[in-house]
Amino acid sequence: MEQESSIIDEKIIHFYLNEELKKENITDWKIDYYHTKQNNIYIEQNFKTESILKSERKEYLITVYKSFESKIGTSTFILNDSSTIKELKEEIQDAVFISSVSLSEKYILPKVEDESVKDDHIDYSIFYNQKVHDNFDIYDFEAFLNEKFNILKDEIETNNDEKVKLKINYVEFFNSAGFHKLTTSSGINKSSKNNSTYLEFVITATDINKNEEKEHIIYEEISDLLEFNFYDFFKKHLKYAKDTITAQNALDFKGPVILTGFAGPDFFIPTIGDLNPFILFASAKLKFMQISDYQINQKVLNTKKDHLTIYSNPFISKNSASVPYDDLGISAQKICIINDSVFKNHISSKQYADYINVLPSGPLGVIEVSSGSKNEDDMYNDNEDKIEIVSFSSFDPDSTSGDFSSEIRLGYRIKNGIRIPFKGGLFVGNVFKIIEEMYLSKEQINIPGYCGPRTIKFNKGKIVGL
Amino acid sequence: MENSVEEIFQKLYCITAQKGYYADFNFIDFNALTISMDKINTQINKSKDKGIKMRLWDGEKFLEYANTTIDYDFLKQKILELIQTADENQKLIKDKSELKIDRKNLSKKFSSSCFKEEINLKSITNKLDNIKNELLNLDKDIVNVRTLIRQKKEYHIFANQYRQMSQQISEVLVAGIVMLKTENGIKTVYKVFVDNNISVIDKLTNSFDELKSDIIKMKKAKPLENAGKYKVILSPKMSGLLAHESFGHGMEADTIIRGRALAVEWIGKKIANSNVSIIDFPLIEGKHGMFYFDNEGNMAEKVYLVKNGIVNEPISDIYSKTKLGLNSSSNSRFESFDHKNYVRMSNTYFEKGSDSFADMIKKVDDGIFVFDCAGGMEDPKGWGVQIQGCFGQRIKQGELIDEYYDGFSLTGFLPDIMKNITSVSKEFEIEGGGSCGKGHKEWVRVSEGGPYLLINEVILG
Repeated sequence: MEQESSIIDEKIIHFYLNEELKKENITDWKIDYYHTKQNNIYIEQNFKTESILKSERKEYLITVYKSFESKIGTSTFILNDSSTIKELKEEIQDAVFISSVSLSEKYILPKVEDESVKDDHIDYSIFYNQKVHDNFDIYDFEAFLNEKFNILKDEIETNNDEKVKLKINYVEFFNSAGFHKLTTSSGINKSSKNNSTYLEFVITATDINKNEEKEHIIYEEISDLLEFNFYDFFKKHLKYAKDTITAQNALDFKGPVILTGFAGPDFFIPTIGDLNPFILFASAKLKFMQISDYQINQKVLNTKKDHLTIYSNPFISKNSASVPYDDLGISAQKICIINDSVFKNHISSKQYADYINVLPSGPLGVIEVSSGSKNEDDMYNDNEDKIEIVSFSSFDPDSTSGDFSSEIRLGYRIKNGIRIPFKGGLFVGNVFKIIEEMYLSKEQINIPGYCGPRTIKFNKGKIVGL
Repeated sequence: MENSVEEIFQKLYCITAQKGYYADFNFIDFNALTISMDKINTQINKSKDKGIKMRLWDGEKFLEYANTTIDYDFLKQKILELIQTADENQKLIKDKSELKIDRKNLSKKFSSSCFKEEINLKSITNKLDNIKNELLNLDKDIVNVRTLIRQKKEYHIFANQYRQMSQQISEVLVAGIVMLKTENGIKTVYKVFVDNNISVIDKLTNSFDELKSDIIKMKKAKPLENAGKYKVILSPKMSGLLAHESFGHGMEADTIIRGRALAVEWIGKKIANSNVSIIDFPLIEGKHGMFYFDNEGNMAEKVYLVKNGIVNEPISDIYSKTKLGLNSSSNSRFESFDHKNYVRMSNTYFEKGSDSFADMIKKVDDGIFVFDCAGGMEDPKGWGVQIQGCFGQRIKQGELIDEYYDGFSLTGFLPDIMKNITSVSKEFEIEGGGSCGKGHKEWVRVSEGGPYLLINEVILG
């Protein structure tokens, strides 16, 4: 018998949870084990390293369930690799009580023999880069970054001229490797690996004659570090940075607005918060709460030009939003959410699938949007004045109304074929209304969380200037 | 644990001090209990975040290691690895610098007065349930409500060779959120209150009339038809957001080191009228940004970011103090033990003035009283103001009239807005609080609030 001061492990947790099952104090349990490593590098001006932070977390997220006739109670608590048996026992006692008062409408937890749990169709190797993940402890991220800095320094030199000088203000380079294991009292036992990179940096462009500075901020999530094209990435952003120095203040505008660069994907997967509301409304939870009125096989989006076809695709290789199973172990599947602006399937956990009587969809994956009818060139090659937005400070539509009012970090006014950069101003509107007159490009982009048209054109956009 | 955390830290900093390196150590044990209910679910969740971070200065940069494993032998091995790396780095460092550390010895323990208070689950669940039902009955167009109470307890130990400190901070946050169907889609109104004890739930109970009034206003609210320049009065919440989001981020010294803060050109210069001051002060009991000392062992102190209209010294951490030669401030914070320290605000607000809110209204011939918003975004380089999802009421000929707008943004160039502040109210409140990020990450708890402000001209759109 282990002492109360002994440190817990998976076996010990199983033992004590099963004791509660035997006593019928709970009816089910699940354990999510997370083991995450991080290697973070922080660089300030002149490529000077400010800090290197390495970390490791080993945590257990333990959930107990208690089923009643028409209700189900849940309680979740967290322990880690320093927690003792005494702490585990105390938390289980609390959880037993909480699960008798923390109640929801009843739903049936999945079992290992359920069709929706089977995962023979899933190739688990697509979710991570083995070379980086399995060698994480010895991988020299600092050397890797320095190598990329050499590319960046060369590109900066190429772009600098007598009028404009570019410099890097800071860089944050975060790498993580994770392992997750899910076990449940019904016998579900799944595990997966993942890894990702986050890169954040700021380029400042200085107008030498005016002694004026403007900055260009980049936040980039990188799914596959070894495949990522740093050269093209730096080249594109140095150009944007240079354009900020000549950027004027935004003026009021009504007419065609094109989203591209960062801004295109932002429209579907906003930088902060949830998805675009017209995708969010596919959620079974929102349907059940009567916030969404989507009906299957009904046209839900009033698109008059290009129609929208949207999938949730959890199988895009090495995309960090691709996942093999959801939090209850339901296996991933590719789901058509909207087809030609007609609603087809909810995204639903087991809980809400039971509530609205549909099959559970598995986890939300990469938002995959089908190409539109126009080439990018066709979107620009007309004589109309138009606005092109390449990045927002944050695109964050209201998750229920769809209203948005987003500050433009960098855009271009295109008049008589001439592109004039601008900054500031607000792109305003409502996501449900603006898509009525929308074209999507044929050209696609594949980034973490999104695989779809690179460029979107709204015929009736509105900019509020400064 | 065989050794206490304090004992472990003491042994570890003796090792690093013997080797001649500065090192500091943080232990965080954060626990939260959240009870949340809406029409469908009652959820009671416990969350926890526990671990340590060790940090060593090699003469040029910090070498940091963070972990959930709290074991002396394991941590000793890790600190020796950091020392080894630091030793190897000595050959490569060209400009070695010594950190500007406060070497005054301090050994202190602090505890919030209500740290030991425990929530009676049964009684609080019943109370929240009653509140939820009352909220549901406030209006026929309500589609859902959510009531929430969250009790957080944070135990923090800091140590270096000069300081051994600990603090226990507790906080209770309550919220009532109402979602209603309007002509313009689903909208949300809410109330949030924060204090250090459970009786704060009574504030939510006492806010039903206000919520009902907000619901009526929201149902009437329409988009702001004409974008442009307006005379505005900002509510305490909004003035807090202006102080924090629009001004404060530009006064974080690490942002200045990174060459990203326009504020550096304004230090010592007049930016506003003399009735305008902005303060950052962590030690306000019961407020969301509260702490006794920061993550570098600096005792909480009040800092004037703007004093009588003049831009003062920025807030800082050890690294930025060293680089910029600044004085002390207690603003080094991290989101969690496995995150880097950054210079962060705490409770940031305009100092209260002497005018009355009622008199301010009378001074406005045509303007908007902006009383709520979804949030804001910082722009320290450009000092652009971006506050989004605003909710406001029209003022005409010195009176608030029955006209409401929502979903608009407040924007402009911060120095222009600051110089246009003409009145600062004596009415002052800091209620609620959210999280502040550096960009889109590194979330720390901060409060929002302050006085009402009358501003001659801002851009709304």
